[in-house]
This record gives sequence, C-alpha cells and structure tokens, in this order.
Amino acid sequence: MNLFEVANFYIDRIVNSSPKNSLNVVDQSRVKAMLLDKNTIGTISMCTTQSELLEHEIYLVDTIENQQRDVMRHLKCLVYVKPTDETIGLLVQELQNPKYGEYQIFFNNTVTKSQLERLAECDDLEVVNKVEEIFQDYQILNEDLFSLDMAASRLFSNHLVWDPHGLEDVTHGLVSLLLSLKVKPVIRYEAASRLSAKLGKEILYEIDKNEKILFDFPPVDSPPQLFILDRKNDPLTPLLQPWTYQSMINEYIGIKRNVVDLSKVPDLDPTLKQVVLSSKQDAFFHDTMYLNFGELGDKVKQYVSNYKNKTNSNSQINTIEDIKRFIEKFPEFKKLSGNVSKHMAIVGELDRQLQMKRIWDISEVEQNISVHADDSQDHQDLLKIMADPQIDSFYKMKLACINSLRSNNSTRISEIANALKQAVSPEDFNFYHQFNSLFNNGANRKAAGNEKEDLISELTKKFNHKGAHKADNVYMQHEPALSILLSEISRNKVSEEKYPSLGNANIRNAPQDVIIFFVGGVTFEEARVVHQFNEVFRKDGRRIRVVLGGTTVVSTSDYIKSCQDSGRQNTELNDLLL
Amino acid sequence: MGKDNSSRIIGNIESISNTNSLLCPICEESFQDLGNLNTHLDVSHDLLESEHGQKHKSTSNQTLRTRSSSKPDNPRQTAPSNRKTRPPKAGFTLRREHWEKLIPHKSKCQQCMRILTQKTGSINCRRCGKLYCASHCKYAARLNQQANYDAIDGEWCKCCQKCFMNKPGYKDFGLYEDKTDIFMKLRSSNSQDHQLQELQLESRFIRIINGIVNIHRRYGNSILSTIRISSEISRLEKSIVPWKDDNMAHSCPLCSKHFSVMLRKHHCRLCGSIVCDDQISACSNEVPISTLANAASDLPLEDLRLDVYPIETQMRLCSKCMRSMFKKRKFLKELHLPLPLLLRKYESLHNTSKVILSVLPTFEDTLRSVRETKENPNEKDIMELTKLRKKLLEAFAIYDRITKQIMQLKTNTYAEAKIQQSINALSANFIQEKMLPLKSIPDILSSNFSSRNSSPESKTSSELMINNLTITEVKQYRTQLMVLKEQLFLVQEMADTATKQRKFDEASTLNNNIAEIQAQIDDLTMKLGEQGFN
Repeated sequence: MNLFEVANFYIDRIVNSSPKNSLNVVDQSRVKAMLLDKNTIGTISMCTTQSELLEHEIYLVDTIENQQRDVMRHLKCLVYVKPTDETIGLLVQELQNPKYGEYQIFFNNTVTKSQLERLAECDDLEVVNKVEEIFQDYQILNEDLFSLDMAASRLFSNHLVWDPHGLEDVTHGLVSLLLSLKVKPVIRYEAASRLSAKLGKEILYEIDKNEKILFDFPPVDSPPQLFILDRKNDPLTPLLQPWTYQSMINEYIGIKRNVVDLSKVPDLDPTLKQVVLSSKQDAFFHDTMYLNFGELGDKVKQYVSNYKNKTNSNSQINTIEDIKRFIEKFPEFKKLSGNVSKHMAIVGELDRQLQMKRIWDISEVEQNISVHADDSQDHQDLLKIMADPQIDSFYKMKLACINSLRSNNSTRISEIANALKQAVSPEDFNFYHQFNSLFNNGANRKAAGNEKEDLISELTKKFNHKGAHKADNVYMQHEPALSILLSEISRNKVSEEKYPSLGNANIRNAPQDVIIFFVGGVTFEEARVVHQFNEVFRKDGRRIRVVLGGTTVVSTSDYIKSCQDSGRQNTELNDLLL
Repeated sequence: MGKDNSSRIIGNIESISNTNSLLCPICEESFQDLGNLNTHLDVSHDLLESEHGQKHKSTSNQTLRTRSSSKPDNPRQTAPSNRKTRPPKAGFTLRREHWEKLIPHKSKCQQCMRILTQKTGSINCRRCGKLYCASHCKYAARLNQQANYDAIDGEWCKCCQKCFMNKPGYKDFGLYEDKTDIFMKLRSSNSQDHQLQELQLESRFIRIINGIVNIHRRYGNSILSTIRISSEISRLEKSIVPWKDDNMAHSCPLCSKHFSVMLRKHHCRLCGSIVCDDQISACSNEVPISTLANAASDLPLEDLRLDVYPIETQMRLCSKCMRSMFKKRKFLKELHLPLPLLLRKYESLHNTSKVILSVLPTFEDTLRSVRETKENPNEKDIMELTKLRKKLLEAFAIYDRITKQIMQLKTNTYAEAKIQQSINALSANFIQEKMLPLKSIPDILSSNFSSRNSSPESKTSSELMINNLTITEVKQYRTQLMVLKEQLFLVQEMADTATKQRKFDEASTLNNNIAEIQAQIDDLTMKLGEQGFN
C-alpha cells in the first residue's frame, strides 16, 4: 500500500511499453515523445523527474492541448491522458492529422466504449497500436497520502449537497485509487454526514457495476475497509496552525504539485524562486517532513554542519590527491549544496513568517482553547490577542471561530464576538456569524458526546501508549479526531453506529488495509498522524496499513475560504431531493 | 490435555467408524484400536502438549467442541454444505508434518536469530513451519488443513511475518487493463467500409490514368493530336464513372455554397459528383496526372514517360477523393523518409553509449581486483586495465564529439530544439556519471604501474620494436585509425544526404570535416606503415 510503488509501477508500464504489433515497419528513431494533458501533467510530475524520463529516451514532452506542435514523423508517441470528453476530442484531432509516427495511448482511468469508438473511427491511418487503462486518477503526495486536487467550490452546490459533476469526479478518482491498490473494500461512512453516505453509495454502485471486469480480485482473508469521513465533522483540525515541516510549507508558503513558490520571499537567490520538494527524491525532506519546527531546526543545523564538514575537508586542498578527491565528489557536492540552500531558504522564510505574524503567540492560545474548553486564563489571553492591533484580522477571526466551536459559555462567546467586531472588517465579522451557523448548531448538540469521546481517547492513550510520545508540546496539544478513529481501528472497535457499512459486508474481522478519505479536504497534520500510526505498526508487528486521502489538502486559509464559499450558494429544493 | 486428545480421537472414530479401521487423521495410517492410534498421535505427530502449538490446540479444540456438542443429537447428519458445523471428515486439523522440530538450546528464531528458550517462547509458523520466538509470530492468516492460504474457508492461524506478507493479494497493486484488442476490433469493423470505397476509387484511378496514357500513345503523333486527345479523354472519363446531372446540383456538397456564374460546377473524375472550384475551400483541384501517378506509385500504372513528350494532362479531383486516395500514402511515404540528421546523430550517440556501458562492468571488475591486490598487483590485470581504460576514454571522446556535433546542428523546429536540449542534458549526465570510475584510476596506475611496472614493460616492448613503434603504440594507432575511419564513414554519409537535400552550406562544412579526418588518417597510416591494416 505504498503509493509511490504504485506510481513507479505505472510509470514503468508507460515508459517501457512496447506495442503488440507494430504495423508500420519503418526506420524508426529510438527517441520517444510523450503527450500529456492538463490533468496527467500534474499526476506524473509528482512521481517522476525529467531525468528519469530522459533515461527512457523520452526527449519531447508536450501537452495535447498545445495545437502548435511540430510534426515529427519518426518519433513514437506515448500518450498519457485522463479520459475526459475534452481530451478524447483533442485525441481525435491528433489521430486525424497525426504528428508522430505511432501512438500508444494510456488512460489514467476507465474509458467508456463510446469514447473508444470515437477514437477508433478516426484512426484510419492505423497509427494507434496500443490502448491501455491504468488507474492513477489522483495525485500522490506522500507514500501514504493522496489528493484528488479538487477545490471544494467545484464539488458541492452548498455545504450539504454534492454537485453532480463533482460527485462523479470524486467517485471516479476514488475508484481509480481502489483499482490501483487492487482492493475491493468494505465501504463505511460517517453516519452524521450526508455527503459521505452519498459518496459511499456511489462508489459501491461503481464497484458492483464493474465487479466482474475490474474488481475481480482474489479473496483476501480480512477485507480492506474504506472510511469516508466528512471534514465538517472535524472543523477544528484544519483551523489550527500546523507545526510540521510539510504542513507549515503548505500553510505559509504554499506547495502545489511538489513545487514550492519562493518568489515572494524577500532577498533570495534568483535560482531559488521555484524549488521542487518531493519526499520521493529528497532524502532530507523525507526524513524531516513530519517533524515539528523545533525538531526541524535541529535537523537543519545538523544538515548544514554536516555539509560544512564535508566541504571544509575539501577546502584544504594541498595535494593533487585532494584535488582528485574533490573532483570525484564534485557532482555530489553540487547536489548537496543545492539541497542545503533550498532547505535553508524555506526554513528561513518559515521562521520569518512565524515571527512576523506572531504565530507563536496565536498558536499557543489556539491550542489551549481547543483542548481545555472554557478556561478563564485562556479567555483573557484571547481577549488580549483580539485587542492587539499588530495581529492580522484573519487570525482573530479564526480564533473567534475556534472559541465558538469549543466554548459553551455564552457570555464569554458574546464578549469575544464584541471584541472581534471591533477588531475586524464587517465582512470578516459576517463570516464569523456564517461559520457559527454552519457548525455551532451541530457542535453544541454534540458537545456532550464530544466529552465522552475525549474520555475514551484519553483512555486509549493510556492503554495504547505506543503512538503517544508528545502532549508535553504546547503547540501540538490538539489531537485530530482522526487519531481516535485510528486507535479504534487498531483495536477493531470501530462503532458500527457511527460508521455504518454499506451492502451486507462482513466487518467482524480486524482490517489489515484501511483507506481513509476526507470529503472536503485533508490536512498535513492528519497525514502526520497516519504516518506515525503506520510506523508504529510496522515496528510492532501486527501490520495495519493505512492510506489517507482527501478531495484536496487544505491549509487554514483554504479551509476558511471553502467555508465562505459554501455559504454563498443557496440550497435549492432540487438539491435536497437528490 | 490427554482428555482433549482422546475426545478428538473419539470424534474421528465417529467419523470413520463405517470403514471399521482407525485412520490417523493426520497421516491416514490405519490402526487396530484406539490406544495404538493415541500413542501414534502423541509420538509421531507431537500432540503431547508441547510449548509450541498452543494456539493450534485451542483452535482445534474449539472445532472439536462444537462437534462434540452436536454429536449426541445427530452425529452423521451434519450437512456438508453447512459451514459452521463442518462435515464430519473435515474436522479442522492442520497439517503438521512440515513443522520444524524444536531442538533445545539450538533452534533459533528465524527473524531475530535468538536462541529459543522458555523465556522467548517458541512457535511454529503454521504455514511455513519454521520456528519463531513468541514476539515474531504474531501475524495471522487464514489457512486450510494443508496449511495453504485459503481466504474464504480457512481458519485464522498464527503465522510469521514472511508468510503474512506473502499472502495472495497482500503485495499486489497496479491493476491495468489492455484495451488494444477492443480498439483494434472497433477500428477494423470501421475500416472495412473505407477499404471497399478506397478499392473502388483506386481501380477507377488506374483505369483513367492508364487510359490517358494509352490515348497519348495512340494519338500523340497524329496531326490533330491536341483536339483528338482531349475529346478521347473526356469520353474515357465519362465511361469510367457516370457523371451526375448538372441540373440536379444546386450547391456544392462539400462546402454547401450555391453554384452561380462565379462559382462553377465541376465533376470529380473519380466519384462523378458535382463540386465547386472555390480557391479557399479547395473543394476540387486540377492536378497533373504525373503528380498523381507519383503519389500513388504503388498502384499498377503504366509508365507515364513516353518517348516523345511529357504528358501534361490534368485531372480534376474533389477534396474527399483526394483525401481517401492519398492521405495514407503520404503518411506512409513520410514514415519511410530517412531519419533527420539530429535523430541519426542520436542513433550513433546511443550506440557509443552502448559500447561504453558494455565495457564498463568488466573495467570495474578488473579495477576492483587490482585495488584488492594493491600491494602486489597482477601485471596482466594492470595491462588489461590500461587497455580497457584506453578503450573507454576513446569511446567517451567519441561520445563527447557526437554530443558537440548534435549541439551544433541547426534545428528547424521547436520540437527539434527541445530534443536537442534533452540529448544535451542526458549526455552531460551520462558523462558525469560514467566517467567517475575512470577518474579514480590514474592514482592506481601511476603509483603502481608507472613507478614499478613501466620499466619492465617498456623493456619487453622495446624488444618488439617494429617500425620504430612499440606494440602498444601500434595498437593505439590502430584503434585510433579504426575510430577515425568509422567517423569518416558517418560524416560522408551525412554529407551525401546533405547534398541530396540541397543543403549546400551544411555539405561544405561536412566536406571540410572529411578532409580533416582524411588528413589524420593519412598521418596515422604513414606512422603505422606496414603494420597498418586495410
């Protein structure tokens, strides 16, 4: 269940593909061209590198949307696209006037019969000699984290109801994940969420429809389980300031398709405007992505001093021997120095922003509020922050939202609301009310249940001592709700009431493979929780493998924005009748 | 525990009592009476309570208990299809012959390699039978009685990590579906109609062209040839395909513009339909038949070249017929064009890299063996090493040169420029990576080889002086000569094609190259004298 292995397997299939029967026996070049579309260019760039493609003699990479491509008759062309009607249309054009000598077509999801017919009809030159479906209609971020990269605004017609196209896209994306992992799971959804129930049914329908053709896997002794959760039922986690390396990059700088955009960072070397950061290729990042900022600082220091040691030993070049040794290691050094300066730049920028935005203060208050509800000291701290003119109104608004989620004391809530009203613009204050109407009715109702859960999670922490080594860190007191589910999964104690299963599936056996999917976006903080869970079980022996995913990966501002968007559209009667 | 054993055996007797002899449930050896079987079980199958095997015992006990409780009611009638109470003969007894025997103070856990003691505990993995300590046999898999995986009907049994991970489907991922056959089928059903149409057009085309050629042959020499020929041709054209009636057509079927005084009606000579001759939409065009015949040179056409004069007759074709007749031909023709210079250069680059890659492993092997015997290096190895090194260096030089040539090529299109860049990036990478072992070599050679070994070597070779050259020199020159000749061949080829394609400036630079290489070759052959080869 290592997603990178899946990606490697598929890329290997594409780049090493050889056609069954080459019709055009010609003096062909070894050089290959690769055609991608706007979807696959993202998925493929996150799991391979330019030089890997070069090694397989793919010297020309272009998008199928580009109409100005030159004719290169002697090249073989590998096409890797998502089977949308738009790209099929572009492919039809391409086949009618082929620019390359022969085509091998790969789709990243199931292709319909009518789409195939359209292609076959226009291929009168018989240039296509391979058509294959592989299943990677999702983006791989970590070895156990994937994202469908679909913004919430596209998916829901309001926060309660799926947009039909959005639902279809998400279903197809998730089904492709199941197929790529070769699992036919038991589907369990969060009982309190209509969105996840609907998605679950949709996926079950797809699985049943394709049972004989695609989901024809040999039986496994404990069926894997797919949990569909709703972001709305844990709004707290995406609101808190994150502290791990990967999540902080996403929060403060932004990382899209493994590219970190540093162009807004002041005083930076121009070569570092855009850097690629992938846990697959960058060993240092792989080791540090889940560390918190304090631990990260130590690691970076170590990394730099390590680098200095290496260069120092070479700076004293006295003999020819030394020169030789230096030259031999030169490429390695170049690589290393590039990596060091990259991470230095990122960490420096993170630190700058933390200082500038006073995140240290904010996060401490935030964490305290979210863990101990209604503490008077916290309340005073909160009021102090509200009054502080130096703090950005975004964080004030966010703090007020968190407080309203956790607090049951109405006089204090109104006190905060008043303070907020004075501190932020009317629009932001308006959002605060909107947020309350989105969540608080439900949250207050659930307050009693929440405490019970907390009690249970405390107990599980005591009994299940393995994963829990922190809690003494002020900035990471909050545990995402996901960790409760994970500990329940590990003890095979997941409540059937809270997470009912679809179909008449057998869920008595403890699952060995679990896929957890967040409708409405997953956070990197949760990715860390899952990663630690996987690590613990890898060492412990009883292996449970968990893969986490979401419609997208959200930072705090992404999440606030998606809440804002979801309020704008009105519920129509039609939506509710679905 | 003995009681449990006997109750198991009773269960088995119940099940097989109709055969009147007792079979061991494990190895199916037959026994006269219960006591014998009991001892057999204890001795041969290790059923005496031992430390390992607890888990198994409990599972089998469970199944037994369910059966023994059902026995008093109706022992023989348990339906075989019922899963919970298995048919009498299928009482779950796991195969145990494959279990590794525990030897005290000797057996080790297969994973942590600790010696198994009372403290570590010892368990046989139910599947592979190997011994493990208690903490390394915590996994579970469903097994059948033969200790094979059985995900549906098997019982949960303890197993080791290896067997757990080897479960079918555990490491399985990456489904793919080959749709090529379906696609081909769809395409062929589609193309059959097309092919029929094409055949029809082709046969008409052949008849027209051949007819025209014959007309020219017959009347070419007569006095009124031009008039005669054109009238004959128009008669021929109408005989081959019935022309549509002019009055029936009001608009062009291809661009759907209305015919008028400005937009005249024309007949396509192949399909007979009436189309316009609009310049922009190009619904029909007059094409010289010599061009057409050239484009369709695979068809059995008569030779157009008459002795007397070239045939200049033109023929009108609609764009539809044009496409179905010539699109594929043009495509195939383009496919059979020689590779562009860039790609051809790349082929030779690739071949050189192949040579390097094939030599490199042997080179590294010898290098390693020389390094290991650093104090007292084997002379043969060192010779071999120098030879290989030289070969590699030469190959790298060629590689580098070809890369430079590729970089100097002028690219005509954006795509070519991109490919050029890619090749450059790749070759830079290649050289950087593969040259590394070569760099580390000189210190070995210089420290060992030159100081101590060079003098005896030169002594031996000095005895073999030929033509004022040492053997090594001869060898060196010969290889150089070979390389140069190969180069000469390549460049000549390039120059030829350049002249063919009328790229004269390119050709002239190439010719300069040829002259240079030739000069070097001459120089070398001079040096080699009799030792040269042809």
